[in-house]
Amino acid sequence: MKKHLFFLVVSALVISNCAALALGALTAEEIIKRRDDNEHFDTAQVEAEMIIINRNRRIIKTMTTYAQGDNGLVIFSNPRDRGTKFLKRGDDLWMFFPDAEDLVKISGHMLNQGIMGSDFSYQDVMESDKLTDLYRFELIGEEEVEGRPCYVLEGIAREEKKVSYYRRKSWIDKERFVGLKEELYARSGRLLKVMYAPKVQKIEGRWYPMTVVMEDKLRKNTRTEFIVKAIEFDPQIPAGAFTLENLK
Amino acid sequence: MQKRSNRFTPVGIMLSLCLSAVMPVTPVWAVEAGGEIEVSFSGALAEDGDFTDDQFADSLDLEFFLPPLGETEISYAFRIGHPLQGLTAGKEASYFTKKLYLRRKFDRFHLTVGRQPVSWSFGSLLNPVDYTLGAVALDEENNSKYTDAVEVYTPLNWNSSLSLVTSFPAGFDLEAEKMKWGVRGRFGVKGYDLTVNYVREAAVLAGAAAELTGLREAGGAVGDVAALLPGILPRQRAGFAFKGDLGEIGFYGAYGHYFGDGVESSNSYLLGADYSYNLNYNTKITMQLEYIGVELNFLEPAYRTALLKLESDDDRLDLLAGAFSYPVDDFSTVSLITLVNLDDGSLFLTPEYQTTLPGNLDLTVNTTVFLGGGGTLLAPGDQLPQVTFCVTLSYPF
Repeated sequence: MKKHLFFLVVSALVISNCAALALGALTAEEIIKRRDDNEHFDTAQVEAEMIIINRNRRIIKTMTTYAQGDNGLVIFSNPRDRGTKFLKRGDDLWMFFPDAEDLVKISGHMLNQGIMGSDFSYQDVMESDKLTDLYRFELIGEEEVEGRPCYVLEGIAREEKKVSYYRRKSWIDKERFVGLKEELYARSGRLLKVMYAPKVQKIEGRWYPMTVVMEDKLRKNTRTEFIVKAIEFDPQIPAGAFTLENLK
Repeated sequence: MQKRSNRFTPVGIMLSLCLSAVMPVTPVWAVEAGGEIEVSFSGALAEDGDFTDDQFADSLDLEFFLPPLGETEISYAFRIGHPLQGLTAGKEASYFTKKLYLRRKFDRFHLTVGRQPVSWSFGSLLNPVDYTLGAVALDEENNSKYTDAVEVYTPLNWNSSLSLVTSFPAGFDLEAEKMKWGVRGRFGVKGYDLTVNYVREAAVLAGAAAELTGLREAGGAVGDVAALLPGILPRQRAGFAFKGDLGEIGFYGAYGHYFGDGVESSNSYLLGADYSYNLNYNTKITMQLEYIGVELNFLEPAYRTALLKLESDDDRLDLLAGAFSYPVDDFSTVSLITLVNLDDGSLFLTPEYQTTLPGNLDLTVNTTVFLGGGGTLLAPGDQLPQVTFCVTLSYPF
């Protein structure tokens, strides 16, 4: 699921671990479909760390995220944000402020804001549709990323869909079917963000990017690293986990 | 504002005893603690040119994160005032319990007993229909929202609920007249957050009207008069609030009706909007603007003039509040908060710069400038300085 931070990253980069038997025969749709088939998890729990870096300064945020279907819950645990929670249900996003134990509905326009000061926006976190539903992909070549051969695909946003980035260019590992790099563009053609997956690991039979780096190309010397510390698929999530009652 | 003592209330003592009894027999207690230490230096420039710059303050906020005992949660957080000056300058340190409560989750409802925050915010800068008036978003650390209370919270579905709160502003007392009551229904309807609530204040300041009149006739200070004001406010209020989106604009509002025995009823109206503008895909400026109108016909004309600088025949206060925020970079933000009295044109402006320094240390610098002609609500004078400034360093841990 791409609705919370981890699944944003996963949804953008993860591809099926099933090796293609006939690589040359795969079309863009087939490649993306394999990725989409893998990135939509029914249920997951992730312990992660987000590091916001600007030159030699950094802020570290730690969090636990729960995902189930279209619902997501993020609970921050680093000292500055300890107890702050985000709940996503459908198109609604709610925030819990631990000091006053207040629950406030976040306005829709805030969804494009960087979440907790990071290079990931709320909208990034909430894009839950399959990429094939949001973009029309085309296979435009093959290149190497960090010595690994990759398919290069270009996706253009479907007209009827509201997405954060008009165009995205993806480098997908031909052997492990995991995204190693992605460039995100505005409609004007301006490069907005670049994502890398410098660490990929096989977990429960799937290749996953355990570290993802998001660089904001509109600002110099700034990037956000997202590091998965632990991940569990199909855990038992208590009933009512994605409710305001649980957020309170 | 109700002044809370810095010692344990009976409810607090009861909870402390419960905690003391529970902790030794609990086999595994992975207790964590965290909080924030803050030091600040502030000053003020009076209208007559006097400058005060010796306001040094320090505080320690600490919270214990205790593991739940089955379906029961325990929360304990407190603030120590002047811990550094208590050690170094002989200034008396103070203690304030922010939270000390037990919360039991039953199948159909949650029961919370003890010192707890009761805040009915819905995203506005000012909230005329909060459980405790004055506990506004402009002052998030306002102690008045931490109250000794019993709350029953009943979820109706994933985004709707009913809350019943009883608190004890004058200390623990089961006499109904000395208890404060509140009910809040919160409903999620088609993307809108709708709330209705009702509050009945405790009759803790009975006789305040007579005392207030006597004080005014004796030429009492405005501050003393203001302290008695809660005693003559309508004891009951009903409120409605909503928040949702109109296209790309966040939209919210509230209506409050204040009534009670022996006072003329009145109303308040709030309408606000928030919006963010994308400068370059990632750098977003955010803006919030709201209007609030408060009818004051329950207040004698003389008090309107003395307290709120209103003309004697003017029974309504009209304010415009605004907030603006611009992220300079990943670590720094510039913001501006303002409040304008639409009736007399007086206002204050509070620009602020906040940055996270290396070492995870937060630096905040702000100043407030009061502007207005003679006799206006927010004009510098006897009650308000011309300019204030504050430099704050804080460290979360």
